[in-house]
Amino acid sequence: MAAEVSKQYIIIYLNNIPHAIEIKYIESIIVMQNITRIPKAQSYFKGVINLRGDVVPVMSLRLRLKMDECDYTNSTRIIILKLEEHGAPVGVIVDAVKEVISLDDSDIEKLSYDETEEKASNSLGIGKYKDELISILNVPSIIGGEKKND
Amino acid sequence: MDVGQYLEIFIDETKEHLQSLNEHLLILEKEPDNDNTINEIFRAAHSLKGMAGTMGYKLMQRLTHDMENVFSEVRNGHLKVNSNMVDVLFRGLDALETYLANIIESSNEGDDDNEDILKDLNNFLQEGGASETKEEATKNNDRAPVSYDNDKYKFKNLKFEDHEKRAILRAGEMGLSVIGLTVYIQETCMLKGARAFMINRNLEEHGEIIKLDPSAQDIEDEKYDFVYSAFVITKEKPETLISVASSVSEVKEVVADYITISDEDKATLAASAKLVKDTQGKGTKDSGSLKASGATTAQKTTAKPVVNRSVRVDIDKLDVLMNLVSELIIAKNGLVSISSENEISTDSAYHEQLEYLERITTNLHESVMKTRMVPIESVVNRFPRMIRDISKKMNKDMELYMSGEDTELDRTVIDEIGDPLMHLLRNAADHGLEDNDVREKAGKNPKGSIFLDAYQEGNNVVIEVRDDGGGINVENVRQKAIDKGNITVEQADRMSEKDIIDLLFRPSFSTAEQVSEISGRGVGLDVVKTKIETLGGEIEAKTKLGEGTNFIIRLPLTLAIIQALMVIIGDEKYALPLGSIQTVENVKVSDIRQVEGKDVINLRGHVVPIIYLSQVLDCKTSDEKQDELLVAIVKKGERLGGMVVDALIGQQEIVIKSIGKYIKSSKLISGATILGNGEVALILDVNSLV
Repeated sequence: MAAEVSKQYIIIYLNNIPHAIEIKYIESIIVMQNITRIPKAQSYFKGVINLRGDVVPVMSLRLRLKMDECDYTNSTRIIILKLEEHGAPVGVIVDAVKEVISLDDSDIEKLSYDETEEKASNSLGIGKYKDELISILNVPSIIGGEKKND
Repeated sequence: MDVGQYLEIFIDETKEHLQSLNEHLLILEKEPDNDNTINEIFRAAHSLKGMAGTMGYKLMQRLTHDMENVFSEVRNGHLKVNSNMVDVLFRGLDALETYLANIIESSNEGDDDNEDILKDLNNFLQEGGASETKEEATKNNDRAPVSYDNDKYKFKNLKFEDHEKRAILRAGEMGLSVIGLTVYIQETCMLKGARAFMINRNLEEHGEIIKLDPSAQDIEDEKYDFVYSAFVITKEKPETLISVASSVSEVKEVVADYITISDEDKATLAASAKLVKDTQGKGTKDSGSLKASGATTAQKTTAKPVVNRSVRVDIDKLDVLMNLVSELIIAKNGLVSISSENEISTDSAYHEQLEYLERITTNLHESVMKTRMVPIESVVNRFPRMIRDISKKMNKDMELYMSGEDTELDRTVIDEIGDPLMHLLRNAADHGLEDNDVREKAGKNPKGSIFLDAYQEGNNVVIEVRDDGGGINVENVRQKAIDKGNITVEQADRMSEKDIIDLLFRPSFSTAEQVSEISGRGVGLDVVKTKIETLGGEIEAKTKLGEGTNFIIRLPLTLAIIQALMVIIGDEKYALPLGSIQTVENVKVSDIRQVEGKDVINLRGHVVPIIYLSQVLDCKTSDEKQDELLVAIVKKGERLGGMVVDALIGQQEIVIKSIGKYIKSSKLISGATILGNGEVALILDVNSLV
């Protein structure tokens, strides 16, 4: 039996559906802030915030994943992500952050290819945790992905 | 101590010498009989050779040596300068630059021996019929002492310690001689410690240094007055040591002679030597290791020499400093905004202190900014050579005239501006200037001229690249744009001459009939434009058919902190760079006219188009009809534009922060800044709107 690789993920909720983000990308999690709108930007980018003296762009993960926007609540959080250690940070707005879990690679089922290409690129696969199925988000594609400007 | 710590000095100085060689060779080619130039070239080549030798770069030394031989023949009048020879010499310089590049990369000069260049150089020497060039060259280098007065031979007046005398005696017994030297280093030398180290290293190849005055430590710490003495146990002659020591650059003069010990000294020493031997049994060993510890003789502490005082600072450290200044300004803005919102604002003492703080931060920012400024010279000084090469290659007579090389720009800009300028100059040389016979037919001076002018204009630095060539044929460009499908015929008809010229900056738009090695691959001007825009600058082109083309680059003096006018548009705050704003006007709505479907106003005789920022920025606007509009007049080159804003907040010093690469906003937003209350405000690049 091959050695199993286990990675840690943070479970977030979008529209009551759990999603997982690998913990290595996560810089910090902060509460909702005042966002300064950027005109003419991609529609899912809500604007920029002041994160301890740095200007950080923030996107709505709901809009990015083609879900409907909803009002911010007390549990709304901004997750600050970094692709590389010294890369530029990006914030994503999520409905709620729940817990940290560990998943072995064998618990993750790669998506079959009958999905649409768009969805497949934003998700790395489906993780099985307890009784739930959780979509593992493809962070590099979500942040850096150059989609058709909508 | 190893050479490593001098590597940086070596690299810097080699760059300088190479640059000087480049410049003077260009002059030499034009004025083959200019003695000053030849001497200057000779000096630089000689220093280069010495330095390369000291650092152990043998290939580099060999090449410079052969080049120096040629220079020496030229200096002695045995060889005439011709452009063929200059070509070979330039090739030599290029090879040296390659060596240097290798050294910078790996501290190793590489293993290309450039045999062909050496051969060509030696061919010149043979043609000149000079068989003993080598001897002659070295003879010329020996800055042999001219006069023999005792003042110069400082070492003769120095007293020896007993153990030193013993070492001298012992050397005599072993058939070696002791030579005293006094080395005079040029007073302009910046790193006399390093120089002395190099000289001593050279000397140690020929013998053992037993005594230094001042001490080795003091010399290394530069605690001496450009003159020092050394005593060497060697089997060489004084003349040899003189030439060894003077092969290091920036040495003014070296004098040397044999040292002998008087008979009485010998007698007393012999007696005491026995004593020492009896008691310690290792007296002689001690004297051998003295060169390291000879510090005891350090005496006179002379007044510090007045030299140009400067410190080398890593650019990263300056960046850190600049960031800290930025933070300080943000913190200060925070204080200002608290004071204006709260009750404290009535306290005048508080305000005084705040203003004081403001003055300090502004001055601090300016000072830090100045330390980062570098004259543009370091970028442009390689261009004359480049133009010469192009001129040769294309067989087109042309000349580059430069002015304002001392104009200063931020270090980061300097590092980036070289390539765009080179592009523009190549463009000018290649398809800006016509061929010589065409020029002659047109009644112009057959020799083309290219001008590179740099100067400061307000908060900007302007660099113009101008040629007196044929100019851009606007009709050709128009036609080409239509052919390529960049614009439609109707569009083309409506476009002004200026708009057409601006098409040249679009990607893949080259009008050169032929792609040549020098330019015309169609990646030219748009790359230049993008680069300059990333530096926060702008470029425009002006042309007159038959008279020439002028590319004007405007660059901001600083990149990090600017003065801005804070405005409100809709319910959002924006910063407009103050540098681009001319005035702010109250304009009556009834004064707005329509020209070709665009709103314009007549501002003291100028027709100024009106730009409604709230529409451009998709801001929420109130529906109220206003009688008067607040318009900020922006100037870009010759053009004016009126930006309609809802309210003014005031002038503020702001720190520019990038909004990151992920947001693909239009070029409208040039960055963001953090306001005193922690809010983020966007900086509008108003120039892109005009």
